[in-house]
Amino acid sequence: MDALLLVLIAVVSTILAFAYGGVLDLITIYLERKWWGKLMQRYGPTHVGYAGLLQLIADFLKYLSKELFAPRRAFKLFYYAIPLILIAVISMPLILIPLDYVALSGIQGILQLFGINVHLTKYAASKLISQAAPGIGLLGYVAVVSVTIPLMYVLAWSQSNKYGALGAFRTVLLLVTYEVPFLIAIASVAALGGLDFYRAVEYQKSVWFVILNPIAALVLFVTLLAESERPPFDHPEAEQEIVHGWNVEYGAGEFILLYGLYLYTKAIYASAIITTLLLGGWLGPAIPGIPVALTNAIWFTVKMIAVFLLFIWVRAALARPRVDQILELGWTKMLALSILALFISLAVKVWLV
Amino acid sequence: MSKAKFVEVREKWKIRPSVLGILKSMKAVAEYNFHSRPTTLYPFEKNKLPEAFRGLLGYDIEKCIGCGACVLACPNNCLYRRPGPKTEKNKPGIYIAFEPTHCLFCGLCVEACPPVSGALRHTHAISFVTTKKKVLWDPWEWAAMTKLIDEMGWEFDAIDYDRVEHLVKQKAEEIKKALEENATGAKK
Repeated sequence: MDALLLVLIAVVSTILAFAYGGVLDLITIYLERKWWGKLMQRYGPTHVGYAGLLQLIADFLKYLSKELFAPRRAFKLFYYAIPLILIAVISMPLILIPLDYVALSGIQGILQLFGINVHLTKYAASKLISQAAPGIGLLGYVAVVSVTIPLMYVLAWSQSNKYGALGAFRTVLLLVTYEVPFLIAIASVAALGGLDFYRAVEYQKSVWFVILNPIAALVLFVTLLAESERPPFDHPEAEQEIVHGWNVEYGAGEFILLYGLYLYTKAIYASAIITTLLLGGWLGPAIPGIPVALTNAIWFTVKMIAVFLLFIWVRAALARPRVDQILELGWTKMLALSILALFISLAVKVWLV
Repeated sequence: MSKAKFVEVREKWKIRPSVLGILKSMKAVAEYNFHSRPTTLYPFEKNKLPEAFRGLLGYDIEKCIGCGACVLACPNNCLYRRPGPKTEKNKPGIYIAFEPTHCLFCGLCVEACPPVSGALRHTHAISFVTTKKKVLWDPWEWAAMTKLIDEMGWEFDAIDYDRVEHLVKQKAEEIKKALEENATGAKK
């Protein structure tokens, strides 16, 4: 095994993870617009492509064709650089969370369908990382999300807009508040299956953790919803109160980076983490006639999209509470529930052993 | 009465800030999966008009008995008597000419039209556009327009008369010819 080959394959798997994440981004945004519209008795996108399938690409092209614009008082360097840095930071979990493993496993399954037997999945970057340092995936995700807090602060300052500043301060509030129950919920899941994604999935062969510890699942769901700034926790970009929050001054390509990519990749990470830690990851019943590698990819994608549909359902159903109510929920109820979840999973672990 | 109803509805949809309230609102939202949408994609889908919709007047020349009741009923005097071939149904040989640019769309002529005849009705054509100051349709032209609305699917649409005038004239000649062939004089 050459070191050069290893590096090459790791790079290729990273690119594949990017492609997989991008495709998921397109699918989930389309589903969100369409199904959310249905729940509000609207149509959603209908005209571009069949049933509006190409609407998102049309929107992207439209935004890219616009002029890059900065307000006169903005600090230009940070104003243009911070969205890029945010995207660079937020695309790191693509290889920390086993998205590249799933993409490679899907390609391996398709190759096996045509009679080519190759073992691609062992070269997945996330697998190599987790072999070198087990548990770096989950902790790395938490660290990356924490890095976005000061970046948000700088973003708000560089815009020199009061609505942008308010939105960014709210982001920081939400992230700081929900980081604590999020970490404790992750600890409670790790008490059951370890910090490593691959080991956690292996442990769920017999029973999913969502059944063993439903309270941890609830806390993880709510905190991830809050961290990805999805409604009802969309205070940072509350359209009705502070116009568009921390991305109020942005337009054109920067808006795509901040709103289309940053927020939706965060939501996709949230659903990926819920899928791997609670819903058995890529494990699922075998489909006859299809190799295991391909069923792994199919089940993972289906579960992720199902979790994202749950996000959309919650978004359609719930209104946005006041900021103090959200903070109260985070600091009291979610914290208490997460500690309860930790005790439950410890008890389950002791009882199982 | 109305106040009681309001309170009742509000009680039904009162949502408390608790887990049960959240579940209730999620259930209420999920019900909309099975509702049909109240709106249509208009230019691509046809709107549903009410049955009693009063669109442009339609004239079935084969059913007309030439009684002239509609001419008497018309408040705007936009209907005129015109002589034509005598048939078995239309013994006096009187047909109705129509001036759509003066029409009120009131529908009194449709009510006045006797059930024996039933020649007049409202089509579903919503609007009628022309650059001319006055449009006066001979009976055959009016009948041709009615037939064209049904055949070409111009229902629910605005009709640009300047564009379709030649079609109407062409159709009108066919209808007039058919009427003259069916006339009582021609048979003998």
